[in-house]
Amino acid sequence: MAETTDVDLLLVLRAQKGDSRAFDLLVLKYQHKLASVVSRYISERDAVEDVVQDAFIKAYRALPGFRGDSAFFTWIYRIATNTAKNYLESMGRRPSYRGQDIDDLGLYDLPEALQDRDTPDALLARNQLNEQLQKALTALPEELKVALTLREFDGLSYQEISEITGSPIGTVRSRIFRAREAIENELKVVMSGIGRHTQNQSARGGYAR
Amino acid sequence: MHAKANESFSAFLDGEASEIDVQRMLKALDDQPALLSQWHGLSKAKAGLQGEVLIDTALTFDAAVPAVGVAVHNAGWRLRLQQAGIAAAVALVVITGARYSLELQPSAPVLATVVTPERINNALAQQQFEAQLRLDLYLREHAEQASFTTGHVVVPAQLRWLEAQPE
Repeated sequence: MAETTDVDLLLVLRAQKGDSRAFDLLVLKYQHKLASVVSRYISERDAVEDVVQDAFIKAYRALPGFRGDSAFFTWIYRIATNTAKNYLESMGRRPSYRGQDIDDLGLYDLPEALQDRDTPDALLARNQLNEQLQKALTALPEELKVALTLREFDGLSYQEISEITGSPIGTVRSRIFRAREAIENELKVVMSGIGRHTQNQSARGGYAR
Repeated sequence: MHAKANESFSAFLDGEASEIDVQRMLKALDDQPALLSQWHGLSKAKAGLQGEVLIDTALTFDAAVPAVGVAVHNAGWRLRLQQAGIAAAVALVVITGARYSLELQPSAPVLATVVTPERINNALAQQQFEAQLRLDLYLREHAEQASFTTGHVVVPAQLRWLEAQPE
């Protein structure tokens, strides 16, 4: 059941015809990845969220001009980095990361490397999230844990997981979803504190619950 | 009720969705818009495991977009018109700047009877500086627009400004 068609492109085509739900799905899929990219330029969490939202709005406006010459993520990646640079210039700051020109950095640096610029509050929140993730992962039933671990940490495809575990792909899909759902339920409180809406209160101790 | 759609969304996050999954997700979202929030939670769970930065853009995007919505349907010719406008503006600034510079030179002796040569140089430098600022702004807007429509974009290099001489 691996993608035989470019599902992103399919969603773009539907969004171009006016189906805003299709674009919502693309936002859901790429919002955190883009936030990781933008946080390479900008350390303030609120500003990162603003820039990502601005990038998606610009992309939505520019959708009629998207011809699919490049992948959707490549396209929106460029929009997001340009938006981040413009934001920094509007703030009178030069886009750089630890003294390096931002354009010299790799396109897909490891997200872990991005966390170094976090504030102490954000680092604390991140550590607590990681601890909770580990606990939630450990508490999963074995077959769910195996499926999710092979997917998230070993990067295997559903087909490969199916071959390793000897389970049909449909079962693999179902297990991975149920594992994520269980983790989401466990982490709802912690993760809701990471976003903008509850960030201020969590910075004052909201994560310590 | 939407168990299959949930699985489809999970597969979509992994790049393992099919066309049927897309149809299933869109139908489920039409039937139950609240699924967006539920799927946002799932996307956070995945992103958290990947060590990505977690944000809530998906929850606020719809509210930010209505003003844009109409533009999407009619933006084809508008976008091209806008791009043509920016290109024309860039050309106009360049031509005007060049002509203005040429026109200033013959009039310099006349001005010299009123102001000192240093002041002329200052005024000229100031005008060039402002023209370059405008040109840079247009180029950046043009580059940003170009990035929307093509896979390639050239961001203008940092210009070295001609600073006005202190009096």
